[in-house]
Amino acid sequence: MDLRKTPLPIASSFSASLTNFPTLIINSMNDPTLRWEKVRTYNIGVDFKFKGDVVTGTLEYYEKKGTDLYGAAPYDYTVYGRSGTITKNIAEMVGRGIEARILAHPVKTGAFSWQPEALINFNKNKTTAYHQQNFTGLISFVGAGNAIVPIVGKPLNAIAAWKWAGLDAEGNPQGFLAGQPSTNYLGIRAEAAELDEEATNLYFVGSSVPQVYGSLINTIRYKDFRLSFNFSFKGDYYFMRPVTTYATLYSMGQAQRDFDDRWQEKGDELQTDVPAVNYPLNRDRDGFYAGSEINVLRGDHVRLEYVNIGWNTSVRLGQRNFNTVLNMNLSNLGVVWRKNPFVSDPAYPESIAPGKRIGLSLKIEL
Amino acid sequence: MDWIMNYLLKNYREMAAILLSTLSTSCNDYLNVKSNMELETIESLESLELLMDGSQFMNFNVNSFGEASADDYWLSENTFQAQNEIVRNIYTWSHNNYLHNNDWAKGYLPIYHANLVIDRCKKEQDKLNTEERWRTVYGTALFFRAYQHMCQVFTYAKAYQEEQADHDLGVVLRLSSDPSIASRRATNRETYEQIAGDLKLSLAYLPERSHHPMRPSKWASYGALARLYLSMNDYNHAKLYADSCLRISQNLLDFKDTDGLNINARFPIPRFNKETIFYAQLTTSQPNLNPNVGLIDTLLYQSYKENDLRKLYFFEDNDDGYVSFCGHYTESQNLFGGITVSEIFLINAESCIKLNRVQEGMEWLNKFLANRYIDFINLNFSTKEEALNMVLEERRKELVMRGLRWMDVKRRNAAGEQITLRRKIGGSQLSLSPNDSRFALPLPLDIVNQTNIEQNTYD
Repeated sequence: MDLRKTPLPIASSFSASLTNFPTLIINSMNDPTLRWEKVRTYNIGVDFKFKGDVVTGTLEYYEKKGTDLYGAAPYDYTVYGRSGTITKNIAEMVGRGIEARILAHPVKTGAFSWQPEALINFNKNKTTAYHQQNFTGLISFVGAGNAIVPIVGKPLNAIAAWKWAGLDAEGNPQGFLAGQPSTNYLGIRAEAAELDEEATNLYFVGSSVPQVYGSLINTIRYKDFRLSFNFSFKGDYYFMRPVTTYATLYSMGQAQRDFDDRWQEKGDELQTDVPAVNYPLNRDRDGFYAGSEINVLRGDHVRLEYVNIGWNTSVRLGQRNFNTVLNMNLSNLGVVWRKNPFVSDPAYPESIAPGKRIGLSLKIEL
Repeated sequence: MDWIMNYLLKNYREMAAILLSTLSTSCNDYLNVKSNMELETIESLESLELLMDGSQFMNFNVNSFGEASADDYWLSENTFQAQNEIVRNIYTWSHNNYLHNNDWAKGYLPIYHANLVIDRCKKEQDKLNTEERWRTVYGTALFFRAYQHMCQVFTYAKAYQEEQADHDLGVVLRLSSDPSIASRRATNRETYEQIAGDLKLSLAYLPERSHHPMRPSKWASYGALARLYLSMNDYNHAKLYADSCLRISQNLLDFKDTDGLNINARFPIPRFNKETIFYAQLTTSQPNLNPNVGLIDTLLYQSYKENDLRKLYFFEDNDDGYVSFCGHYTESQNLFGGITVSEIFLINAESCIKLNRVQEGMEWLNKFLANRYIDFINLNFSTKEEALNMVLEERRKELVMRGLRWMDVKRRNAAGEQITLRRKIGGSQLSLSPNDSRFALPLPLDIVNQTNIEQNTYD
């Protein structure tokens, strides 16, 4: 819940451009209809134990109902102008999930112990109501995923994509218009907007946030040594592969890896799906390609989060014993398995993933 | 270094969490209680004044869609082809389905701020009668609202014509900060009456001169009224308000006296100079208007005589033999969108001549031009027509790239002239003839869909 939402206009202070006068500028329009979001959560859980303490755990089911949820809503920006959408109470949602935590202790001897711990979450949500007219429907999901786009019956964060009909003989991306391959991108868009749920030239792909996620932490002790490592898993979701748009290439000189495979001469359309360079610019063509189904990838992956090695010993100095812990921590160890073949880290499709880190520590208890 | 960043990031998150927790404890259950002390609401006199001083909102949002559609500049074939479709469509006066963000939105932003102030002031009638600061802030808001509505109507409506003013569509008049009031397009008459009304009302509240040209004054309101009436081809009122404006000050920049102007600077005209009555800037939405993109019309450039100092100060040669504009009163590449004494001299001269006071009009013109030419010899005229043409030619040369040409072409065509705009693209010539409906530029598609207000016909 964002407590900064109020029906009053909100200003923040600035220094004015050129004059340096202190000034106020309205960041958010007054909106007498704005209310706080309401979220109700019900949950039911069990704690369990098997074979003494060898297996313990908790299992929890929850249901979350949200009403008056905030969302960006198109409005008549003649009244304010600064933003193209404003926050309104526009949606209701329901989310259901299962959270499980299982802790086992299968080996426990004097010198050696092994303790795996698994956390698993299943979570699905969907919009149950949407109080907004003039909305463009499924088409808003194209290329989206980062923003919440409420469409009744669909997840809050979702991805839709254009059906792909390959490149034409000139290297132009094609979609479907009236069931036929077409490069009339505005026409394709108009058809999708008009038919909305019945549209056949784009379709709902799935959630853009993981609907299954969890981690597996193993802790092994041998005498004074302790080793633990954590694999995390995210699954059942999709993301958009970043691709070259020629508008960005011309204005900022940035291209993506697909640029190398672009259509360059007749016949290339049989080998590649990357459109030919075009000039003058056609943003609709860029946008169609970027939002097409060939660029939707499964995000499922397993990541090695960290490895931690510790050595606990006692050092004798003079008359006293000092308890000493030497610890090494390796983190951000990267993706060890992924479902998509193109993007090495689905959590960072457009940027470089954080680098590996090694930490060493020595603790002496005085 | 990596670990330092990570450390900072981690701690930053903790700080954010602390901030959020204090925020939620300081907050009670009622939404109309201010939920965060850092966020200010608009109640006090001081907050109203601060709001009106927000130059990047209040002064830098003058619509530039018209200027991009006008003919002071042109694009080379290569430059044209490198623009995106929306920009190309603007340049070729083609139908454009554009969405937020745009100059429609930007123009209504200062109007919204002004309405917050006006709504607040209206609750303080006593103070408005007696307290100078309340009076000034109220007049300031009225001026800004009028000025922006004026820039909008010059862009999206046909020129004002008395006989058709009840049928021609003007723009949306936002007269309250209440967002629940539905937008509707006023007629041209309603629009112009509202703008004139706001400006005239502001005269009762504003000081004669302001402390800074970014802030409105009576001087600015008179100037805006002169411009407004000229655009309606109402020369009586244009003359009336131009006189009132110039009675406050007639300071012109003397281009012969170079201490203010700097020929070696990238932009030779100093900002906030003495002839700036009101300082405003056009929006930067239009890449064409950047001096590195759009070139100055060659015939226009050739019309400056050799002893005209504007030829020197306003333009710089490019390597390709064409010239770019550098005479911005903003001393930067942003286009000036305010009011200057020179504009009011020209309005006065033109109005006098239209009112058959030709000799008087030429006196105003000569007095002005003496500040622009070396070895200036007073211009003589034999007919009214000749005198009028001289004024109009000087007006074009003085007010180049000031966001006024689009309105000028429209209102002069409405008064019976035959000005056709032409562009050359890829060997073919495009033209916009005097009565073309496209002179009322299209509204944003999302606004038309959202509000069902009437779109301009744009075939």
